[in-house]
Amino acid sequence: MLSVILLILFPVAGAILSMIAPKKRLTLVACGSVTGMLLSLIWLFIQKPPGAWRVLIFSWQWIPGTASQGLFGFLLDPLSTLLLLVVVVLGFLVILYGTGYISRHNREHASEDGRERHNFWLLLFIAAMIGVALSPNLLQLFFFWEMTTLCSWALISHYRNAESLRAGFKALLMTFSGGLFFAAGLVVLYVHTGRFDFDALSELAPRLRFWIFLFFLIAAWAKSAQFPFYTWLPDAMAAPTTVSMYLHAAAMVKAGVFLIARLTFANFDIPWLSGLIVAILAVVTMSLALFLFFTQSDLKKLLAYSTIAHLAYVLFGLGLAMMGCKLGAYAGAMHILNHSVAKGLLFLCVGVLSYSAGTRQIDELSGVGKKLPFLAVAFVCGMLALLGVPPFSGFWSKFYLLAATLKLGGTAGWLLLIPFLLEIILGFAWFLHIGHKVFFGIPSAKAADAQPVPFSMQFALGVLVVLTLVVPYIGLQLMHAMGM
Amino acid sequence: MRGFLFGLWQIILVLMLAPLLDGIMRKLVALVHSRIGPPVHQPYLDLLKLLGKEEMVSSPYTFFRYSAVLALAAILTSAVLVPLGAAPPMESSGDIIVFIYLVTLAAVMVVLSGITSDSPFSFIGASREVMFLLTVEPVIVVALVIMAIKAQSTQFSDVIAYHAQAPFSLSVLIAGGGLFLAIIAQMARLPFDTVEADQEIMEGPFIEQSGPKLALFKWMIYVKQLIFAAVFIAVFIPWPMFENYGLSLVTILVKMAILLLLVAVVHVVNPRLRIDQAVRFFLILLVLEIGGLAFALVGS
Amino acid sequence: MPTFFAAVAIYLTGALITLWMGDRRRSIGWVAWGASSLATVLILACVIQVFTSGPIIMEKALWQVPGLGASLLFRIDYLSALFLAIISIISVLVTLYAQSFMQIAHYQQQSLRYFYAVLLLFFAAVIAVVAISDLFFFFIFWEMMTLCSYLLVIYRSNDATRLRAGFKYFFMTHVATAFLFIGGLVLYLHSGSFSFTALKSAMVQMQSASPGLLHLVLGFFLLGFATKAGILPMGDWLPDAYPAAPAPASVSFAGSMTKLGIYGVIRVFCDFLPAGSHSQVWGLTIACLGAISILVGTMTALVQEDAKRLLSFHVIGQMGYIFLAIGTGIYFLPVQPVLAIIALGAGIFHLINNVCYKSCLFFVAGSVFYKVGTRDINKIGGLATILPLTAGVAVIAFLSIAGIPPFSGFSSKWLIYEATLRGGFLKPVFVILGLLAIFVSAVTLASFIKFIGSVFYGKYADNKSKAKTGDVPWSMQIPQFVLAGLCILFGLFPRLPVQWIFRALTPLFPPGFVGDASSVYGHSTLAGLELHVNDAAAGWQALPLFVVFVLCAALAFYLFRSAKVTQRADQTWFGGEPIKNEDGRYRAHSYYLPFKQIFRIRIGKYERPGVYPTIRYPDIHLKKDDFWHRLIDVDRWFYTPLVNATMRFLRFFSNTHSGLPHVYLLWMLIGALLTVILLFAFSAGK
Repeated sequence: MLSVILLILFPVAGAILSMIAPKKRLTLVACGSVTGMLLSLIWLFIQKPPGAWRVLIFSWQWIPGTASQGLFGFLLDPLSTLLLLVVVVLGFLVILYGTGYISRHNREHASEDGRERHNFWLLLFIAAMIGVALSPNLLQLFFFWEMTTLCSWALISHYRNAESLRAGFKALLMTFSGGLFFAAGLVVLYVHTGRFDFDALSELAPRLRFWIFLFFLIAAWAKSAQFPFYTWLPDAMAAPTTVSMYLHAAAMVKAGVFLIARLTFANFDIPWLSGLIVAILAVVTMSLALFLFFTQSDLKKLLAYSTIAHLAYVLFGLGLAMMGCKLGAYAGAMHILNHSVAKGLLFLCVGVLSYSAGTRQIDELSGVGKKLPFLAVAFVCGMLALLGVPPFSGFWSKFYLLAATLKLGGTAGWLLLIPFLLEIILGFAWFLHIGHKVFFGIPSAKAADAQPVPFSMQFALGVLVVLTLVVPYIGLQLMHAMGM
Repeated sequence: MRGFLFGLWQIILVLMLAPLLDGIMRKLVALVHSRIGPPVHQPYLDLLKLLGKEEMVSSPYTFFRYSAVLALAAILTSAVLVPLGAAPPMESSGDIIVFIYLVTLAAVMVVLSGITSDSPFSFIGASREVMFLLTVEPVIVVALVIMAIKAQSTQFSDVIAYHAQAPFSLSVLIAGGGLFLAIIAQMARLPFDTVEADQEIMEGPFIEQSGPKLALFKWMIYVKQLIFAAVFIAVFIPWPMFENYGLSLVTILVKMAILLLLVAVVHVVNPRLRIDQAVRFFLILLVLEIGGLAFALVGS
Repeated sequence: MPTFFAAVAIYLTGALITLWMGDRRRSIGWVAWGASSLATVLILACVIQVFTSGPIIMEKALWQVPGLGASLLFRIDYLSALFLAIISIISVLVTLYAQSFMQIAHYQQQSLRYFYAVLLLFFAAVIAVVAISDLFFFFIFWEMMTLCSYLLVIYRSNDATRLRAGFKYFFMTHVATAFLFIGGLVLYLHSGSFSFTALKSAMVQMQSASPGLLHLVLGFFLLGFATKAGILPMGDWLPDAYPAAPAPASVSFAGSMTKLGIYGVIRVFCDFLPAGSHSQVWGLTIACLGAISILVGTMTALVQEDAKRLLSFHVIGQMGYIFLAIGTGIYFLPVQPVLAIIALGAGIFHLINNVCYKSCLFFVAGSVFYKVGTRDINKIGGLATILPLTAGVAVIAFLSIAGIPPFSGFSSKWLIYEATLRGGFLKPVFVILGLLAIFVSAVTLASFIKFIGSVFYGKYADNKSKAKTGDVPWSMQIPQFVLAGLCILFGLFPRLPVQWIFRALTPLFPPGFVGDASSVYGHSTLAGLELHVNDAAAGWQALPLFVVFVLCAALAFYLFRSAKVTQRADQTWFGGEPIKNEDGRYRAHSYYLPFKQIFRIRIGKYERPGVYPTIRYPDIHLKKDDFWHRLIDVDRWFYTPLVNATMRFLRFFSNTHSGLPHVYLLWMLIGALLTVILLFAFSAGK
């Protein structure tokens, strides 16, 4: 109980302290709060050891008489553990990384202005995401969900130039509009069932269930930047790399797919048709992202499109589950974890490039590995994890996704398999090409001029490299606990 | 053991008879030319003379000095796999395929002697020898495989036994024709003596060979002539067959003389082909042979 | 089994130690060599244990993958043991060779620890692939092996051609692995488990229940394995990737990795697949693919002028021989078991020989590169004077690969020819394939004559002065000698390996499938092979013939020396003209020109030497403004107009805020009136 409270309290306290503490102490505050957070997570796991657990740690009926169950509380089960791991571990690393990244020595944005703002919003965001992960019902999830949207707006606009302000506003507008659908869905759900629980959906009449679920889906699509709501994510790359990595690759965009995963795991009787819609839209998103890979000249944007595609993988798996192959849901959920680590690593690598070489443009970079070998190793590991080369993380979830597609079988299964496979293969080719182009070969002028990178950033990369190897086994154990 | 000793006897026999065969050949060619020609034992004299001549060493490589020895050894070894008046002495040690590759080993040694010498002419000769190998060997192989397919065996004795009593068939005719032309090439006779081509590239791979080395190479070529003639006769003209070894040996020599007459006629009336013409010729022949193979496979 | 795990652990530890060692360029190689030789000893102990006391089977899985019927379960049977022996020996030789080779200036800029660590990881993955008995983990280790080999291909990573080669290699094999995975998954859905035994029974069941799907699965497997084995047209990566890797790495690819494609084919098509109509269809396919590779690969090798590229095309050709033999074997499994066993055995025997002579030739190419720093054989010549031992080794390996008796290549080729010709008595198409193999064998010979002739013999090239005098160091000599020695040993005593191969193969089939080895290969001595199929016998006994050959050679030598003539060393006579080395050289390019001119592709104006189609991958240039981009740019045609329209709409309303009090009063009045009217309207009648 206390550990959970501490888990949320540490980042919140850190956020508040960042605003009032003197600038010299900012690093200390940030690092202290995330370390505290990490320790409380470990404490939590010691208290509630992993296993087949589904614990409602705390429950509070804050609107008396509204529902049988509590409205506010903490639910710890394998799925929330999955997201919690992503949020806390990557949050820890990103704050650490940020202490080195937001500095005068950064070649791309040589400024320390707004470090306190950055830390404030980021820590607040971490707290909000922990809230999302631990939500026992839809209402609380919605509450924290909107909080993350708000933080996202502030963080995207961090540099306060025209581009980033516009991008922040755009992101806010689109995710918030999606959030409206979420709210509408919640209201209808409550009117009809009197509950906000995840499994309340199954109490609805089938036709209504389909529509309500569609509402939630729209919210998730918007949040997770899926077709046709994907356009905000590439623009949001105007944010600092820490933000791009944490919000727009690892944590926030995962909230959308997490919602659908929650609903899928709670109600395996979601209509077949919605499953088909999810899967087809996922495939469309993948193809779209793949098509857009080829024109990107900015590494970060390339990664953004790849994120879109990989979120589509998660939804693809969930769609398969809705269509009747439960393995898909596990695969999709696993991919949340695997992708977060891999993509987080890649984003941080690009951040190192901006810091060290001052550019993210693919055309201006080549032979970076000569000057920054550790970066090349990290990037290649991240890339292999992303592309699904065993034994790195991405392989496992991709394999399970393939297995689920084939297990689903039938016309739908085989028809979905082909574009999915094509995406995997062509994405592989393109990323390999980019990796070769940027990290190998003869160093370009900017790459030859690269400056050394602070330890905190290298540390974050190192941890993530190890995680790309370790994380799938955690994911597999968690999914096993979920009943896979 | 009996096969082994018989094999050694056959080796000696082949070694001794081969120059005689070439002498007969020269005499025949001279006849067609309306010349008197050298005596029949002239090749023996040539060999003796060469064996006693000074040896020139113009290249530092080992193979330059000893490939002649190895070439003669290889072709003599192949003699134990060839029927000469009786079944091949060491048939259980190797069949038609082994025979073909032993002959190839001899050719490889010639090529090695060519590429280890310093003269560009010998390289050209070696290159030509290999091209001949590439085009003539398949013809021989296909011809023999046609016979093997008819006999359902890859051993000389089975093939001979089958063809001695088998009725005439088209595929055998095609195979025989092809093998005859290929043998002319193997004997380095016109129109296929492109490898040595005295007037063009001055004996090609042998240009730098002298003394005993040249003698051994020449001997190797004589032996090769004899062996291929023996193979052709054994496979395509097995009649008449005698139980008596001496009798059949004599018959074979007579048949060889007839075969050589044919070769001599071809040799005399044809000019030398250019290398590309020869390669093309044998490739076309190969296609023809494969047609014959198709006939053999459908059973005619 | 613990011995095997210890070997894997030693490879991994070796990798870690080399990583940790840093830039000690001298000692790092010895650590790697120590690790691999230690591991090899352990693996060979395993192999001996297998052949003396039966397969090593693990009872309990190391790890059970949740939600998937896959378990980390190892099992070393006879076939695995055979491949393990090959791989481990190659690993020792490779690491020994790398000692000196990797010191050359060409690799001075590269980090050696990266090389050795990846190399050792590669070997760990390769032996794991061979020893695993679970398809899922088989694929995982397979892909790890691909990854490591890719890293070795791009080892000199500042070189654009190597990067391109690495890309092509990784991409093609990754796609192939995707097919393998899908094939494996379809099988898994029928069996419920990835273990080999379960898959075996699943195939039996599928053969009758869903033959079409089984064909698909087998096709996917073949595609995956053939790609790795370098079989054309899927093996297009090979001639690019092999030259790109450092010589020790090329040897380890040629010696172990590509051979695993064959291992996979034997596992799937002989072990899993029950003999039946499926084996006939796929056996013929495999044999035909093999024949295509033989022809195209070797004919292309004939026109190559880069030493390692030439060898790479020969790898394709030789893999074709193995595929041809194995395909023939698979085809005849249901029809004529003895013939099938002979063909399969011939394939594996050729594989072993291929490992010996091809690795040896790659070593030779590496030694030449070590000495003169170039692989272009037009620019080298006369190296036999400074590399006499290497030249000797090269000639042995060349005679072996060209299939000249009594070297090992001939023994296995002889078996292949016999198997195909005898198969041809039953199914004529195999005669054509066999003849193709015989014909191409001569092409192999021609191609290596060119290689040997232009590298080791002839006039010195002018860059000879660059070469250091003296042969290559002994750490590079020993591997070459060992392999050349094996070429001779297996050539003279073909019965030796064939016997082991027979023992490895027969357990794959039901008991009583064929008799014992002597019923297939005859009762003769250790040296000889005697085949009896369809009442027709054929024999190849290397030793007696070799004795005859030695006697003949002695006789010839006696004749040669009989007159005790004098020797005189002198210059070659060029018509009395002094001649420079370069003028008197016959370059590799000039060999067989008339022949090469016949075999070239000529379509209209398009003309290229050789028969090998080079695929140029198109450069992708997508413009940002084409139609499709405008179409999918939702921002452009939907969101921006929407937001703009909303803004215009809102701006229109904001016009009402004019700031004049009387306008506001007017609005209030209208509002009040409306309210009153609505109230009256709704409450009317109450």
